[in-house]
Amino acid sequence: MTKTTLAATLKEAGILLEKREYSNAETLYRKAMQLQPGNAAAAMGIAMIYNRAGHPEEALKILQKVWKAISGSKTKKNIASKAAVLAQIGLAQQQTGRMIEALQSFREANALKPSAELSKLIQNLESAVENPHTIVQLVAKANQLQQGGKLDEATKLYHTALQLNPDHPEALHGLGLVLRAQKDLDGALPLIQQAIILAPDRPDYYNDLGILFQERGELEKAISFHKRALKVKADFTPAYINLGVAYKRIGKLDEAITAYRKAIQLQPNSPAAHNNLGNLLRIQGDLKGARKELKQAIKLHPSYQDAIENLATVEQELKQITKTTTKTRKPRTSKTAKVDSL
Amino acid sequence: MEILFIHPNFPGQFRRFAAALAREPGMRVYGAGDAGWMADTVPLPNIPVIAYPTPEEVSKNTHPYARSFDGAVKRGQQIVQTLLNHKRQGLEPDVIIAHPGWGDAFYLRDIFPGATIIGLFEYYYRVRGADVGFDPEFPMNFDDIFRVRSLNATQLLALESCDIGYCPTDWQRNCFPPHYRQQLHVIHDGIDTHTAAPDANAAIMLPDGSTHRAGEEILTFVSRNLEPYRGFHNFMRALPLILEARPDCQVIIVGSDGVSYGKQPPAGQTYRQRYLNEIADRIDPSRLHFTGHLPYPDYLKVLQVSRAHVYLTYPFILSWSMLEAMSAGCLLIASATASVQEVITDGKNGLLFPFHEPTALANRAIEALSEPDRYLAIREAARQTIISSYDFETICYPAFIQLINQNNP
Repeated sequence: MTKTTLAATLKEAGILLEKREYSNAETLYRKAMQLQPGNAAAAMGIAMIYNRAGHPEEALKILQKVWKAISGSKTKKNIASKAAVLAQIGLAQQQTGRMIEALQSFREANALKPSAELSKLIQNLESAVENPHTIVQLVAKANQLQQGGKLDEATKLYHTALQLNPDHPEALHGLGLVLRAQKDLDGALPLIQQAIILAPDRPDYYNDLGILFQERGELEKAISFHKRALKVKADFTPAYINLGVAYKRIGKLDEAITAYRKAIQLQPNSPAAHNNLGNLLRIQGDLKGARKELKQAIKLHPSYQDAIENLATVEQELKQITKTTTKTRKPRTSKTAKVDSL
Repeated sequence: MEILFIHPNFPGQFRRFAAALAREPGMRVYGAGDAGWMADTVPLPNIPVIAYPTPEEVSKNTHPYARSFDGAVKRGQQIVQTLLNHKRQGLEPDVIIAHPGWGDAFYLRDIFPGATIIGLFEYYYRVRGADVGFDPEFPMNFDDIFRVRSLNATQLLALESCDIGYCPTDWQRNCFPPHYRQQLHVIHDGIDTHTAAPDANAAIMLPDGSTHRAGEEILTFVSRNLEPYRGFHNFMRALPLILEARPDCQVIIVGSDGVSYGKQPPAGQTYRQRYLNEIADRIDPSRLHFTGHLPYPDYLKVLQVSRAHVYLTYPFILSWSMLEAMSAGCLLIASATASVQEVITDGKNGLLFPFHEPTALANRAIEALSEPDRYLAIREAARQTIISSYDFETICYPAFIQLINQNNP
């Protein structure tokens, strides 16, 4: 191997790279790597190809090694190389949605060797990243779309928000809820978990993770998370309602009733709490108590279909009882029970 | 309830608690530990174990006072990375019980918000009044003052990282700064008093081929490693007097040549050889039986054949072996150091002597070996002490369950 061969190979590869003949350029860069394993220029060339070809993760792996190899050097000759590596790292980070890190890399590259191109990249990123309204607006809009059932559109906006800040709890939570609604429970789980890690004071996040666990059939875990919501905010009514549902599903009916009553105590105008309590009282054989609660649910929310159906069932059972001569009343099974509200 | 135990050498001290909890209905127990440390450990049934890669070594460029903390941070970060992968699959423990002495617990609260974090706090280093500088033969140097104080950085961050903690003994709890003690309960890991029990018919054949039976004149000494922290040097120095006064006495010494605590001997040396050399011309070496590490059942047999059992320690974490020896009905001849005196009252459930006085140890051992019947009541009292205060089933495990339930309503 001679230095001339290596230099010529690198030069030719560079020309091909500029001509966007990526496949041929990569072949030559790999040949250069064979001639001199660990050659930084060849590694850099391959990373640039990966960056341009839409494989930023692969590019980043290589660039981090190159950076490790050259970052310690303080010679002037290496300043341009360092700036180039940092710029490529920035590009890879930008493509993987790590905008803040990308901005930092571009700034460092520009500090080493200023260029108009880098300045423009920095300016564009700054305007998006450092404007807090960008994410807030994106998340608010995504929320709206989600509420309206436009889940795919909401997903796109949440992804955009997460590109600006992958650690934005509201975007993570929102995207998690969308995936949960789309029954992608495995996809939703880590998003809501991450949102909780980032914002551990949000009771609704814990409660939503509890609901997710209910949907996964992991009821003990669901109970744990509804309780964690209440640890954060003792008067968070939805958590009591969901706690009641989870208790009911594992057959702990007394605990479920206690949870629903607590929800009603905190929020007497909650139709869901009255409906769920009424439904449970019916199962326990307290038909009059059930009727009272279900009527209250309908009074609060006249078009509440679940409550209306539950009340109809109760009324029917009450009629049957008055017809029969049986004096002992057995607890009802849940075979005709209607839905509880989460 | 889902419980995750974390110990680099899982199950470590959690072996009994974890195994018992895993048998409880409705309880799911997991373990997590360092893959390298756990390579030789015996797994517990029905407890899946998450192994995290051994963290990278501490850099030589790190300031010597900060090396322990540097290692702890690396371990804390490693366990975060590993547990996050499992969390994303659904791992969400209600309670995490961790030994935070190596940094494992630093960031648990952050990645498992709302879970209850319970720490096992074994020791808080003190520059004066405990193990450091206790033995004039191994004096601390000026630098130790600062190094030892800095060691507590790990414990201090761990105290802030746990919701509640427990210490195995009162003495260990009292080593911690007063303002932290209120969050520390005292719960010992517990002794299986059914297994560690007297057996008048016990016999043991040692690796050197010698056989020993209960009732014979046998002096025993047990320590994981034969080292100064556990008074091995003073025990050896007492032997010439004992063996001269008691010509039928055989001595069984259980323990390995490593060093668990304190300074290493010079390269290529062991404390066993150093102190054996020191008394070599005054004893008959055939009466000393060094067994090395023994399997647990054999170790128990050694305790059961013992006429007198010697235990020494610096003011430091109390060894399980001392309590198991008492549970096995041994006559304990122990150093009068603070951690021992929490359990043993001289003349009631054991015999005490000053740590630094091998002659006093020899005198007590000679008395005990020559008149075994005189000490039967003390042996019985020793066992009763363990049954009434350290029994796993009736004392320690119920207290542990109570600690969990009180903190996870």
